[in-house]
Amino acid sequence: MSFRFRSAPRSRSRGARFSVALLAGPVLASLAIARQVAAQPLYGNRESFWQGQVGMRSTFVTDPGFDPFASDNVLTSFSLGVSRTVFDYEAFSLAPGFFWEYGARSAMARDQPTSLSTHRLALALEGRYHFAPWVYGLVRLTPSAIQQSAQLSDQLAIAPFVANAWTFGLDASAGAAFLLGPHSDASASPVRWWLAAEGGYGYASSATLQMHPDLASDDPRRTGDLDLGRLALGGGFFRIYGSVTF
Amino acid sequence: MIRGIRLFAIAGAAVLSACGDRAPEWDAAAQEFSLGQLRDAAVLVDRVLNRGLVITASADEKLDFKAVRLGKGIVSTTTSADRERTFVLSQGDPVRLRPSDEGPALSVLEAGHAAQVKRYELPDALTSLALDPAGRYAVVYAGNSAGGTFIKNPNELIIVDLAAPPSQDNPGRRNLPSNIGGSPQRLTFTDPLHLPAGDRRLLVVETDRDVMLLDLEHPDRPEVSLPVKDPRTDSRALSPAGIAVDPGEAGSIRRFPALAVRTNADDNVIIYTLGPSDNAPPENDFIPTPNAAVVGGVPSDIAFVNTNQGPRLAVMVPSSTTATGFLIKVDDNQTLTAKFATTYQRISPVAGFASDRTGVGDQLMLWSTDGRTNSIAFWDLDKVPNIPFGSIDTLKSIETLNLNGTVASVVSLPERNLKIVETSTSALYVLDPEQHLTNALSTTGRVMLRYSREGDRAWAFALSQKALAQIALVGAHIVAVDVDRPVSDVVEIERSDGGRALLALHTLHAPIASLDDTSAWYPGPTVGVTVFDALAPDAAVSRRYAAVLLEGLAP
Repeated sequence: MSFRFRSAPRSRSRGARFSVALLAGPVLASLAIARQVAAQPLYGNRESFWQGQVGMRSTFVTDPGFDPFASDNVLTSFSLGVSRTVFDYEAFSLAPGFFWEYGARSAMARDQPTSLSTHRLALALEGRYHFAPWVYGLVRLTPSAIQQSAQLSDQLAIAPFVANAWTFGLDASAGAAFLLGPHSDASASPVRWWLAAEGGYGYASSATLQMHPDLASDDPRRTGDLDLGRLALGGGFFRIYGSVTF
Repeated sequence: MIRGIRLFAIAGAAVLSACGDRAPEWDAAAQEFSLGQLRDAAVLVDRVLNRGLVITASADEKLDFKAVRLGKGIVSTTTSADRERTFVLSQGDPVRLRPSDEGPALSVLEAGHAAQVKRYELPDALTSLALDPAGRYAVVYAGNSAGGTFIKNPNELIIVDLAAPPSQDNPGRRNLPSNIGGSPQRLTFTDPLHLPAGDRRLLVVETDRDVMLLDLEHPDRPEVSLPVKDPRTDSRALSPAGIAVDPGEAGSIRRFPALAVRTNADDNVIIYTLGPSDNAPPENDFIPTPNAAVVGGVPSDIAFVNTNQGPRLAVMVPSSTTATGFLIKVDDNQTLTAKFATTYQRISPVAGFASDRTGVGDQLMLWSTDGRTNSIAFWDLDKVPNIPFGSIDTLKSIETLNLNGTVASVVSLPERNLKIVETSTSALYVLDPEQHLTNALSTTGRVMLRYSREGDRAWAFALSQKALAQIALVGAHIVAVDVDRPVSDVVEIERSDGGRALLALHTLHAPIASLDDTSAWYPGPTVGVTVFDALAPDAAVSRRYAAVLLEGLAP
């Protein structure tokens, strides 16, 4: 039995909610100080690696607050991430990572143009089980900070209505990654290409859609808000991504 | 690995197919809406979503929105004159296949608690509505509207007792047996009449061939038919053109109620006196006795009035260049005439008709909207000579006001006893007949007027233009109100803090008058509202709302 510690976990919550620093800090710190501790992992650099990810995520938002901004329940996001294997034990490994996702939808709400954009900054805590050198299963717990920006244009409004908010999210997911190549143990290049997919459920706290005209601060006109309820961007999701490891 | 990817793709597709569409109301374009104007709320009636958006105001020009469900297939929105109720008539689902499908209904929103809608199920999809000015009854009938079911009984009346909750017996249904094939055209609720057996109110139904009386408090009693001609000797197609009602007088000087009918082509006015009857219930306890008064021409208007000689029936008979007024004593047909040099067509007592004997003559306002008459006149009935027949010297009793154009419309404000006259040249006159005061206002174009419930101020606006003003009707002081969007309509409502809010409505297109001119339809797709303090309108503290048709959609 051998333990391989690749980083010293130094997560230190400072209480700042939904901040990028809160999420990114521990991950970057752990990645930065990762160091080789002991012998080679079970599958070598096919189990223990840096990983960069590019993919797409589709979330099925069933919250009625999403209705004004999309004609269906799908919120598709572009996903970008990086992770590092920091711990492995036989076929098990742990790889925290940092992710940024951007999604947007637009629609017409009773003939009024609407749009919604989201940024999700997430810390991924990913555990892996390597079935073989070319495939591993993963489970992931991903707390995140979600920034949602809603907009509605109305021809009689003196400025577009906007509602911006930060919310908290927590995803739980499972999936698998497949090595596309190179498969050989002793490849000339340390770079390997993977294709992965995961699915799960994401909780997200709700934010108000009390929309107000986006006026300049010195605009003297007084306005009333438009109340579109509340919006929570949670729901079932799946994500498919390609990754490069080294 | 490929197999795994395929499995994942299939699973993804399955999940995608499971994701549903959004709620359909977000896809429902707001094509048009109508406006209910309650004392303390404006109601935007959205017939696409079958809902009403109740808008109330509070201090600091803030609005609150609450959506209420209305019936499907909305055909009309009507607000009572006292602005205590808004009535929404709906026809229900066009085809009812399930027990849950809706039938026709009358939805009633009441001031003070407009969000609690009373819904009266109707047995038939009829499209006309008559409202009791006293607020007790509403009658749904076929009228002349083209809508409704493909076949309908024009003589069916659905009588809703608004003082009672919806029940098996409310609304009640009544068929008018028409012996001569007529159908109701206009309905009038009388004030309490001093009938021989006690004071009661009647419903007067003018059909296209006769007049019928219904005892509203005794629905079991039969209707009373009042013919406008003798069908055995008169083959003309006469139809009622207007009525006037004298409630009569109780007490020691007894005068029974009377109902006068003018027709479209006859030079008689038929006066029915409702005297005592020996019939026992369920028969009616009054019996009409007809009396025809010849006036030498087809009357254009009739009204009961008070003169210094007692109550009379005033009749106006215009000719091509002049008009003749008649004052008829009902019980013996004594008739006085007055010649007018102008073709006045309309008459009305400026302070209304008080049936109890006063001994003081009314002021009678004379005007015409035929596009040829550029004056109005006030006829003083306090100087009527005590002679059985003869002419009245109009030089001594008529006061003429020449206007800057022909009369387009006359609006009465009974709360302040004022008359607002609009001319074809867009001039406005605020008349105070009792004080003999006239204030003339000039405009650069056609203006629309809306009045406060108290009748002490009016709001003038130019349709679809950025033009709005407050008019203090006593003194006709004008306060221009800056508004930065074109105005489609305005409504003044009470605020929750006791103040008054003026809601200026903005739409992208001009409103459309309904076919029966009872309500306007405002085109979508969006509505904006600018809120002013109605007692001190100032654009600097006004508040602007937009996209209000989206309010209340979120769960």
